[in-house]
Amino acid sequence: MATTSKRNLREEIHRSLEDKTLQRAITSAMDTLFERRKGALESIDFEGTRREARRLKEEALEHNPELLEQLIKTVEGYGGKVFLAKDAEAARTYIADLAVEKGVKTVVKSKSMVSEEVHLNTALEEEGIEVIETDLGERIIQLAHERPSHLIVPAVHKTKDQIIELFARTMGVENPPTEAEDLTRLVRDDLRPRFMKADMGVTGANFVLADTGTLVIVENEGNARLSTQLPPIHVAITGIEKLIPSMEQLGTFLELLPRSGTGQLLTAYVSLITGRPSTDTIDMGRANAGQVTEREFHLVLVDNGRSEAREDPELREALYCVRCGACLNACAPYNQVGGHVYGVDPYPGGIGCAWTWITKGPDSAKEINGLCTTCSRCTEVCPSMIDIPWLNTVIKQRNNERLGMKLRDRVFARADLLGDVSSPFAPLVNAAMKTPMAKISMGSIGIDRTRKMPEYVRGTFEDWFQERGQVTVRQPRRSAAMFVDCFINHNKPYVGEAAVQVLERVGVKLELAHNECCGRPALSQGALDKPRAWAKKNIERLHRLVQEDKDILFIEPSCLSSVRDDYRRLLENEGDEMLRKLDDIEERSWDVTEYFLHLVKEDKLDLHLRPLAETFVVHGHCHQKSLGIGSVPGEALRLIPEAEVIDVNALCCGMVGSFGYKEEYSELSRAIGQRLFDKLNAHEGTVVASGISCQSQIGEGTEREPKHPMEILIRAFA
Amino acid sequence: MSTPLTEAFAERMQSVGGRISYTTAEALVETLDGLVERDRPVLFTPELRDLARQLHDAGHEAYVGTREGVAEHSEAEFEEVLERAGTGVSGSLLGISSTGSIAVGPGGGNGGLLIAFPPHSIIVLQADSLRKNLAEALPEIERRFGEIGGEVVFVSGPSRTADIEMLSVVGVHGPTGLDVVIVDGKEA
Ligand code: SF4
Ligand code: SF4
Repeated sequence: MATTSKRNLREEIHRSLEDKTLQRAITSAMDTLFERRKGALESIDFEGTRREARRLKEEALEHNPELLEQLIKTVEGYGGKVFLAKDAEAARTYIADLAVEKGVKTVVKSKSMVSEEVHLNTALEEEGIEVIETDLGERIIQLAHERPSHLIVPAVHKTKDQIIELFARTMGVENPPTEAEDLTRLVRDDLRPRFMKADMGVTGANFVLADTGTLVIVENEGNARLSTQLPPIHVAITGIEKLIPSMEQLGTFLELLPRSGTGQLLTAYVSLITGRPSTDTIDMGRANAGQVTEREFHLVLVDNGRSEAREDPELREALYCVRCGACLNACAPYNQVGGHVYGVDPYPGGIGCAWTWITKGPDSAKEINGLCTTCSRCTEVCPSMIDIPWLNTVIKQRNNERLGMKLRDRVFARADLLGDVSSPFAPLVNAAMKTPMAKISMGSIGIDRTRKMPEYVRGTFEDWFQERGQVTVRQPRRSAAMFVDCFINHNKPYVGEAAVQVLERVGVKLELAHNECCGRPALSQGALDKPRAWAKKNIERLHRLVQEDKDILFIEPSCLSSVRDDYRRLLENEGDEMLRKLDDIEERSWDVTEYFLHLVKEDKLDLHLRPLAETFVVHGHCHQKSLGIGSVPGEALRLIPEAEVIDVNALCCGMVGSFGYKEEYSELSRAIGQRLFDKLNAHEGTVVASGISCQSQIGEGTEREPKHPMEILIRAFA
Repeated sequence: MSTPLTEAFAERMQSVGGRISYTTAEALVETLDGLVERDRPVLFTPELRDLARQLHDAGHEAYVGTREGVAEHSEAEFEEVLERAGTGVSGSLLGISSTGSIAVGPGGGNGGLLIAFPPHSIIVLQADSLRKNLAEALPEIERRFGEIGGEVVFVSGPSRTADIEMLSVVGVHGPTGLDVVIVDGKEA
């Protein structure tokens, strides 16, 4: 459970990484969920549908107060009771008091994250009421006295063997069965009589339709069916952000939620409960049978920070979450350590950090914030198009403001300056970075001293470009400007040089964009002011280039992702003019490899490339994937005759800018990397990676020397 | 008649573990007679009252799942019957082809219970009530809310879980077996 006391995150991460059983359990489950989701999405236009879902969520949240008012009237109109709980305590107290008043002895619960959020079970148990979780996963967690570690598969961290042992210990069965099916049956048989005698059923609701007062409950096991229909009192507890206007909006969400969550077209049961379920209460000889003649319905709508978040232009985004869990399945750090390291009170993962901030306050969210590398993998899969990395960036910035920024993070934030001062003295700086003194001072500010720092070269990419003077491109077909990123410029100018030469061969007349740093190194430390200033300058600069009919090319996918995704957020309040310019720039912005491939296809170029009878093992950059151009490097290399190209499929390299350098995360970073290294090492040949930090991580982990696709292509042109 | 809609529906429903039978209105009783669990009570939702009587007459212990049942049992008996029930039979509002789902109506307040409580569930679906997708089905459900009230449950296969090591298990708190009987889908 997240507490305000300081956690030793590094130690907790270490323990999770050491736990091989946990690793196996999570990895295989995440892979399964990820694949099932992919399969289920084939039958819809995911991008179109999620854009619509996002729009509907925004609209519903905009009108949340009116919808609430309408809903309360409707539900009270049919005789249900509505309680608007301003915080967690109000919610749990209301339900506990109600249970006491009605003489409730046993409560059956179906899955509800909000009930976990408000610690409902504890409140009921304090009144001497027996609470039975009936979702299989939740029941396992309850018997183990743990917290759910995933939004939809709460016991995902447990193996079958652990569950067998747990049942033996807690259910009084001497020789529990060993098959999942029989274990499930055991729980079914144990819970049946409890359903029959329960005096109150508690459920959540995935959506609530304001006009008809309809609860929508999405489930597979049938326990929500029984929890709403057997006991004489039904209490539904959910967050106020779950309101949507009517049935008209529901379809879009139902297309997305089961597909994203479990990879199903629809779950086994989707219940639409309107009004008090009929008065056909079945009197099972319950304790309170005499008192309750009609089935009672209570709807508890929990605010607990949501209204405040709704007013917050940045955190508001988190309220669009439908709790499908897809972001967790896509997230490399989550895949590696599982939910518990996130504190899970009760929301895990990158989105959990924002929800923890909203529902528990900044202090609880502080520790887990850094676990998000801002790799953006989750943004590809989120059905509500939530920019989770941005939420985490904002939270980091707010924490910096509240608590001050670490010296180390300030150093990482200024990749631009480091380069500017280091390049002229490259050999000196490189040597100095390797001295014991440097290692000690790195260590003292929280940088993993066993990491190799990127080496500087004398003479930058910009110097090279200027010095070579005017170049005539034969048959120029396009004009473009190169966005110069800090690392290519100072540490790997030869990558830039290769890119320039490749593009000139296909008729691109190039110049440099003379831009500022894209801002990502600073953004990922939660420093927003500098990047905002740079973003404005860059937009003016790039827009002028676009007006001169030039395309803008990015060698580092992370810079492109900054300009495309982060600038819009940074500059949200800078007026429409700025955003229009950004639109124009976006339209003309390309990843270099993507651009190359585009020209080849569009202009049907005959490249006459030299055959390279070699194997290329390609790692896709997270930001290329989140920009929807993950397959581009492989495709480009396949143009080379005789080249064998292997795309390895891994979540992330684990480095992501400075993440892997930070001492508290470097072990995690290496563990994430190891999964990639293993896949890469299964093949001989040259490793290809487009990102500079991916290259460092892979270089260190495999002792191979990764190349940018442009470095390979230029060889084929020679 | 087998149409692309029924075929797609049947394929999806079968892929999640539902079983499909085709029959005609006349042969429905006979079909049910062959599907229900033997020697255990069969509970029907009220709109299938006639079928309940016919199965009762055919020697099954068949009831309508409300307080006034075909066998005129008292309320206490109803609970006892529910606990012993082998099969719950419900009618339906419509089917959805693209997701392989059936919308079950309130069934006198117990529709949602009769498809979830007994270990075996049968849902009767009229072939002409099949709709293409959710977008077609939901507005229709909404239009009929006033008339049907109460609750509507979309059922897509028998109850299931994957909470233990992602292993798919059919039959958790709801039924282990689901039969969908498509009426006038011909092929009987
Ligand atoms: S941005 Fe990356 S690290 Fe952060 S939550 Fe998303 S997938 Fe996880
Ligand atoms: S943030 Fe998006 S992907 Fe993650 S649980 Fe919420 S809706 Fe699903």
